[in-house]
Amino acid sequence: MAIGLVRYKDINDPDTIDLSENIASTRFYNLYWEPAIKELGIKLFQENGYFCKEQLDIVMNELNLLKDWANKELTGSDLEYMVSRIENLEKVIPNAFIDEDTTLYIY
Amino acid sequence: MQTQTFPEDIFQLSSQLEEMEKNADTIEKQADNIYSEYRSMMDAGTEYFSDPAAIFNGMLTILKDATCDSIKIAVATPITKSLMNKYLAAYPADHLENLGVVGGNDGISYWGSSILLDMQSVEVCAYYKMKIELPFLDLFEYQLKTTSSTRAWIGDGTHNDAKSAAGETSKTGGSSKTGRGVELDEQATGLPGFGYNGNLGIVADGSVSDSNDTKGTGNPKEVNIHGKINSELDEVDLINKIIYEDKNASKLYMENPDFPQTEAQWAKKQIFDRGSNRINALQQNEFKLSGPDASKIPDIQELKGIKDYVFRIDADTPELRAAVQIELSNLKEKYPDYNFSATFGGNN
Repeated sequence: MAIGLVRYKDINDPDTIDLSENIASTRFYNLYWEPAIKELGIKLFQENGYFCKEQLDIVMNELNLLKDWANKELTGSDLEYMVSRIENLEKVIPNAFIDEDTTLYIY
Repeated sequence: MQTQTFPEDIFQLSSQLEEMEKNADTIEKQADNIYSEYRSMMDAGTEYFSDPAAIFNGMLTILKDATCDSIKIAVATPITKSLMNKYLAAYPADHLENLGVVGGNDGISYWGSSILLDMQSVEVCAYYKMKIELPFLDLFEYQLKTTSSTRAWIGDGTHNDAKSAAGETSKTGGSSKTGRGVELDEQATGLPGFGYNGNLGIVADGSVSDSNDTKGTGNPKEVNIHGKINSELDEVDLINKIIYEDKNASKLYMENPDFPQTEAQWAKKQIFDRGSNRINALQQNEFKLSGPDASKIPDIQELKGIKDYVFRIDADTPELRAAVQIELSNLKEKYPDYNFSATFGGNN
């Protein structure tokens, strides 16, 4: 499953995961996302992180920073892979909050 | 994972030899007991010693008596050496020496290796010295030990990939270093599987593989599942029917992480929840697959049929192992038709 974005209906039951979006393979995450997150000082959108609706603006800004980083640092298929994942997340995340209590997890 | 301890110095070695002498009678009796089965294996006409898969299959037959532990250790050294000789035949005779291995192939000891000790694993221990010449520095000579294990081919076509058990190195002469203090890797040595903290594994086709060599195995990697449940598989071994999942646990042990968590919390999410979600993704009725190399995208039915899952975790502590084991057990209870295991301390 590598690294993904997940939403549960019930945090105690993984069978209730009703949203699962790919972020990156572990290899790719370690190779590119991790150094980018460190370099850019990303606080929320990182492995083991989680966030709720009120943090949406911060998360969207972090994704934008990560996309800029990819456009600057990567080329070819690596660039395409990372940017396509970020653009998908930018579409999915704003609509992923069922209510104010909804939490999205990254792992 | 069980790891054979290599004698750290000549005194320990001497002690072990004394113990072996004491046990000689037992070993001899065990050898007698298996001799007839060994003869029947050889009489079968199969070219066991040119086919490592056949070796392990045959060994399993011979060594099915679990009391033959001493034999399993005793036979491992020559068999491992034989397989390495086969592998190294593709290289010039002085290849290893040119790379700095003192004594070349003859300078590598496989003492401490074992075959099928637990009736499913091959433990390989390679012990050798490396000479490294650096400009403006004295000639360094290092003793290195690499131990690795892999599940042997056991007749039903299954075995798992090599997994690193341990890597130790010490500098001979002057101050000694052990553990992870000396940075020598496969790239530095040029020896597949012989780098410091590298992995040496015997795979079913008899070649020696480095399990960190994720590009050289030919396995499909980064396989995307698109469906109601999306997912991504780190690596799929279609030959041995194993799905690998790489996991970062090192953040558990960093100072001031942004999202601190316990080993139990980590394992619940990363092993149980992720494992469940992955199986659910593969069991959903409709999904598509994609990947960076279209020619390596597996067949959906073939993928659904894979029942062995291996979590490759980059950290290794007793607490982490305990927490992971609990969640592996929980997964097994939830999905009894599947097999779950984990390796620790490798590089993702």
